[in-house]
Amino acid sequence: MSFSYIAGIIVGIVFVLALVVVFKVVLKKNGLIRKGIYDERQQIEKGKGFRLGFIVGLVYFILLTIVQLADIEIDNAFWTFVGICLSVGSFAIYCIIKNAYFGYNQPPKGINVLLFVIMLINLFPCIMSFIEKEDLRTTRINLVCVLLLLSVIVASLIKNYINKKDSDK
Amino acid sequence: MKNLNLKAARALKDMSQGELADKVEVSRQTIVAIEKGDYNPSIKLCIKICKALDKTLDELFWEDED
Repeated sequence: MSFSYIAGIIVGIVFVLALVVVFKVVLKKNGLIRKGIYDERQQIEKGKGFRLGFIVGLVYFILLTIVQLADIEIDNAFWTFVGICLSVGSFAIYCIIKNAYFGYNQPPKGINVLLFVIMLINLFPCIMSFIEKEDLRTTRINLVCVLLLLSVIVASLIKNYINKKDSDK
Repeated sequence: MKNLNLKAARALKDMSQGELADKVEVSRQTIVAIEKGDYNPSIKLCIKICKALDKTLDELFWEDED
């Protein structure tokens, strides 16, 4: 890996982080993002979500270790990252199902917008790779991020729709 | 076990689940879970709900032994 490649990655990460921070500040100023306050039931469900995420991660990394011990050649960095995303995704989707992902004072819209922006930022290099007919393996980490964020956003939208339908009049 | 007393007390006050949730500072889904019997609130939350609905703990949360 050349110095320019590493420098490119670092600059890319810094640029994206700066973009996300700017976007977050804008959303905060418009009142679309607030620090979440969780009631007692939500805190219990979040705890269960953390446990689920931990167990999913544990099982996954045990399986990954078995694959590595079997001397099967795989890209360890990529598959480790997939495991982290699976773990985080399990936590997020469980909490969304149990209405414990957003605090009771938080409108879901702001966070969904922020996640959508981050998803688009990750989708951009994948699209560019596809258009330029490059090897998609260079952007597969971005693709995994896109899939994770998309599943969280979709779960959130579906749950929001169900909650609105069930709301007591 | 469903908490019908809570639902009835809320209806008496003409309060929606969302309004009660805002008053006691919890999510609407927590009130839904309490009424469905899916969640047992802490004594602190029970007291807050009783104050919001002008009822006693016994009236809202005592389980009748039939």
